[in-house]
Amino acid sequence: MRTELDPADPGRRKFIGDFSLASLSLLSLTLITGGCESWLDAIRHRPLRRLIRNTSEANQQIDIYRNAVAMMKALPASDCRNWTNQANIHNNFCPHGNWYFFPWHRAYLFHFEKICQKLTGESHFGLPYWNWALDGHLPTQFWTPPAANALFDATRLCTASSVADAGSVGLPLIDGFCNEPDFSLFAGGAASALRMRTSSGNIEATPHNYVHGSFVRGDMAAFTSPLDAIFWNHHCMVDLCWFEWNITRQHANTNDPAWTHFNFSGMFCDGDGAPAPDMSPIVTLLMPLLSYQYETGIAGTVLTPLKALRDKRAFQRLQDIVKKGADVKLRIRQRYALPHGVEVTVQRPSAETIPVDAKEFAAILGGDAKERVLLIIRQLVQPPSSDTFLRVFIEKPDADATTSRDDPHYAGSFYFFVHGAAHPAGHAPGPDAGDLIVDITPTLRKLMNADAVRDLKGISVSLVAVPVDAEKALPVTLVAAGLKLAISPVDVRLLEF
Amino acid sequence: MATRLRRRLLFGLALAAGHAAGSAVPTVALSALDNDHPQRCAPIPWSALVADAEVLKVTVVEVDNPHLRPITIALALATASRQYEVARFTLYPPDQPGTFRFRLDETARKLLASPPPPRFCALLAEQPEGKDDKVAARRVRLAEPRFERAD
Repeated sequence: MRTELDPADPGRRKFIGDFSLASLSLLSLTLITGGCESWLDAIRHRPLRRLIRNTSEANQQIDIYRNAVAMMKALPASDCRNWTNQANIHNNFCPHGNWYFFPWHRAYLFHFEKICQKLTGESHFGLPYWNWALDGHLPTQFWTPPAANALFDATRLCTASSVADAGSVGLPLIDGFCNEPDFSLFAGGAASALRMRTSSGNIEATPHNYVHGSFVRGDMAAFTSPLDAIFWNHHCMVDLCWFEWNITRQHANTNDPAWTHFNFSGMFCDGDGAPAPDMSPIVTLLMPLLSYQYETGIAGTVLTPLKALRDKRAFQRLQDIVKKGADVKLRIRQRYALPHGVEVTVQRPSAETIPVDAKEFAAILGGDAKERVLLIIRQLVQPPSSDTFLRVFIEKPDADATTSRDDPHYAGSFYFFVHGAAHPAGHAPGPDAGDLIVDITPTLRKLMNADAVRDLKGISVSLVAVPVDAEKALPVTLVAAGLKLAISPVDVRLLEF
Repeated sequence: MATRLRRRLLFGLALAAGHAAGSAVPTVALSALDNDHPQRCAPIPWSALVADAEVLKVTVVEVDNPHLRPITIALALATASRQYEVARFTLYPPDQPGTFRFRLDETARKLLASPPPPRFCALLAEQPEGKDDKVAARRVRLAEPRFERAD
């Protein structure tokens, strides 16, 4: 079979509509209009993640961290926040060797930090980070005194005097990695599942893996590595590398929806031990700007807090960087199109069946994930009247605004943020059109496994418009030029001997 | 450790020498690295090298490391007169295979473009010794490397 680029498109696609960008727009609007000072204040004073060194400020944070770890170790096994349970989240879900590595671990750290804050009552606590690029010793605070130190781990095979090899963690190497312009080389190869190993990014392959598997070892060498408290401080440094690459050095992440909108639901718990809300990689992009901040860059230079939010121009520039993303080059092997447009209102969802080759779909969905099925909502136009979600359901023609996102037929959603009358000059609101892409493979597989797909000769796609605020919502009509199911290869080719 | 690594790489120069120029270079797959054979070098087959290659792609296809000894692998290009480390990576967990891609720097690209083409070397780097490290066996099998464009 021949692989080709979609002739309906020159090979480059953008996606639009997501929670983070909407949040960023909202933040922008708030800054420009001068509203909601308390919110901005909370962002300004968001938790500071300090560089681990022998200073009173750093030691104060480490003391809080030590207390939090001790409290988590004392929690019953029935509590999701229990130390071992937290490690098991990593053991059960952690992605390695693919492009989910950075965002998944950022989300994991975010929730862990919340738990530490809640348990200790220190709402401004930020996880301290071990910058191995500057100092290859596992920090002294994690060694002494072993008997009463919750940060000590007896399984480590390195010692307090061991020094990590500069050839794997040194600053010149890390600095070079952070200059890598290509997302897949820096962050990992495309994948459609957390545990699908395609290719590791540079930071993961070399300093991250080295610290786990060759330097600290013991608990750190296995997927239960969070049992060693240094795991969290090590991963903060890994996260700082991503921050440096993406925000400080302004390299673009991919904007492939298979990455941006991958759902990390059902994996984490919040500060109270309840299941954490859904989270996607796109949401994690803003965390270092809105939820926590790093004290320094990778080279140890102190970062100026909220420099990017000081004025409109600086913020606009930052927003452009985060929004940009690298355009996705989609390889489409086969496509199935609906020959007409669709129209969706809150009262009238759209339900269409797209005819497909049953044998081909059975092979893709029953195979080893080398291909994925993308739903492309073509040239969707949204009149600027009210904030709206557009939800996608598969094989559920009766889906409507009351259908839950927990329904197994749910495949994804988009958020349309309407700027309204207060929008600054030069950005007047108006109809915007673009393709929306949803990877429906996981949903289809889930339904197939549950025998919930009646007939593979046609795939039923339902689009449901849901107002963000039902009471204030104005009538909204979403119009798309058409729907298309595209079969796109996932690049998981292994080298041959 | 870095010094030991370089020493091993230099030791490997003898293996690396003798790469024939021309189009009839046979494909020689790198086989296993283990305690007895911590370094392997092989000619780079033409099929694995695109013009103006920017990226080195290496896949560890099989790992036998029941005692979870550290596995850090250094990758180098070797000519008759020099050996140049391109990248190194570590397996995590140490019994998990994987694929690793690294951008080739200016020196590596020049080496690849200059006749005769260099040989490709992979070295199981020395690591700090832990419990049972001296006796525990470890073995990895590598697929043939690929020198590719970035996109």
